[in-house]
Amino acid sequence: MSENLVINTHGLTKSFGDVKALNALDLKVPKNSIFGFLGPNGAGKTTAIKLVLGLTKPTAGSAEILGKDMKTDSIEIRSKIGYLAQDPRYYEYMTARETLRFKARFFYEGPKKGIENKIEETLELVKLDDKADRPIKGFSGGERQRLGIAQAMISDPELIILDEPTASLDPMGRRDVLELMEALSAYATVFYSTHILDDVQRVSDAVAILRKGELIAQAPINELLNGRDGTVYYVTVKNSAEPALSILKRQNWVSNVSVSETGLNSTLRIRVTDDQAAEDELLKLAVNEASAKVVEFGQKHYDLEEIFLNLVEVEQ
Amino acid sequence: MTSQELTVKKSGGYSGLSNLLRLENSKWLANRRWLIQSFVWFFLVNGIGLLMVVNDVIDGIYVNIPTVPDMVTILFQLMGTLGAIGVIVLTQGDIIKEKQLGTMSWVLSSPVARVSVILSKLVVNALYITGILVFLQGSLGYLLLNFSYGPVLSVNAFIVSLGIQALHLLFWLSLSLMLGVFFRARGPLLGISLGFMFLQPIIGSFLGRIQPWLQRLMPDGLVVSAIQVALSEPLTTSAPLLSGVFCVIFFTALAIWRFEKEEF
Repeated sequence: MSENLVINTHGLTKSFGDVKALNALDLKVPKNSIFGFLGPNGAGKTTAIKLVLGLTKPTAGSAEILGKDMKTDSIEIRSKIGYLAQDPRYYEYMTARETLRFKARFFYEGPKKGIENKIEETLELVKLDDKADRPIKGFSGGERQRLGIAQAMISDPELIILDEPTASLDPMGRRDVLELMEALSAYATVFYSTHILDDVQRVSDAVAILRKGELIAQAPINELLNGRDGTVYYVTVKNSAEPALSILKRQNWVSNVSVSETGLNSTLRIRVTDDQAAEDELLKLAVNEASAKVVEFGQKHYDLEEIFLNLVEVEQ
Repeated sequence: MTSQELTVKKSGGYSGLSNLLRLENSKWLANRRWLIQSFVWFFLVNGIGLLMVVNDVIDGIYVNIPTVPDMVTILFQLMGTLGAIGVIVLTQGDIIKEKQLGTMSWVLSSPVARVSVILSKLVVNALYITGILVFLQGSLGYLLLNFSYGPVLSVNAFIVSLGIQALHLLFWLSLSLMLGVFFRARGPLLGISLGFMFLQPIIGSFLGRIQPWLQRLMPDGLVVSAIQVALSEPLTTSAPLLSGVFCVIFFTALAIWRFEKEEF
């Protein structure tokens, strides 16, 4: 199981004086996933990332990153990681090509030509090849972010960590970065922090939600969107839902039913344990046995924002 | 994304050192910093020395012509005092600025041993600073002295004296880097290092009252030693040399130790 995890933390804790920035984090990031690390500002996302990179040291707990011990094998771990900081800073006098050359030399010995080819390929991939020889002090926010992604991927890392990669970008810049992330996931695990939930829903395989330094949810995105305790269906009927309610409650594949009324209509929310049985039987039972006049029927799909806000607010 | 033709580096105790040495070197080469500094220090050291001689020419007649020992003393005092200030000013932001800007955490997110960061800054700055402020200016000073007074100074002794002067600047360089590791703002670094530099006579005389040999441990003792060696005079004490070497090693070790614990 743990061989399939690129990040596996055990009670990872970081305190700054009396303030616990991260409290007993047990994070499991599966190999080859695009993993969204969510949380409001100040939740501890960047602290967790800095711990993984060895930029800060934990107050308690441990972690294996790519199967190596975070405390003793930090340099080896970093040789397999590409990282884009939240507010990336580079040496302003360097050009984009020089920046990538500098970064690449930490990972590769040579040959020179091979490194230069690699830089050229990477610049083309992030669409900076036409600006490769300009000093980066004149770069726009989007160009800097693309350069940031380029330097993170120059070493063909096994794990790419991106801290808020789309936070400061316009919609087109965001789209470009998300497309790059999807492309990167073909050969690496992408672990990224964000508070932009639309992005997460669009590209992630799995997510973890952090609030005030504590992990409050961690699951594959589909599981989270379908409801964590089983699939939920809804049936909206005209007038009273009482007959349908009593019939549905008796089914062994129904774990919970709730009713809400809107004007003349009533909506039943039915949480089920067997999706197939629900698809085959639910509507029939409501229409035939309860003689209900069904106006709407379907599977409830949660919005990530809804789930996120529910979780964060419930925990508060 | 193929990289089959590339040789992957192995991680080790000094990971990233060669690349960081190249980076520090590029900072001196960028915008011809080395050339600008060479001119600045020529005017500050040899220029001021020459002005002092020219001031002694009244109506085309030389008055109070300085002797060779006077000129050597002026040259080494200028290299020592202005050089110490120069080292502190030139290197004050080397670590602090990188911590503030975030480039340090970017570099450290790569497979880099922290000791490599300190060593690269020390080695490259030491080469450029001693090269420009001591060996270049010293050589030009020597040529000017030779031109004005003839071959009165021993070349070998003069080279050794420049080595001692270089050790003096290494003291201030290692102190500045060490303070840069300990502090997050330039104020304390400048306050402590410049304060210590200007208060040396007072601190030295205070220490001398406790134990006379303590006074000889102050870094400005290296300038006095360098002058003595340049003039082929016997060294009155080797205490400043030993103290200088010890301090450079101690400050560097302290910087490395503290930097290993630093959080970004």
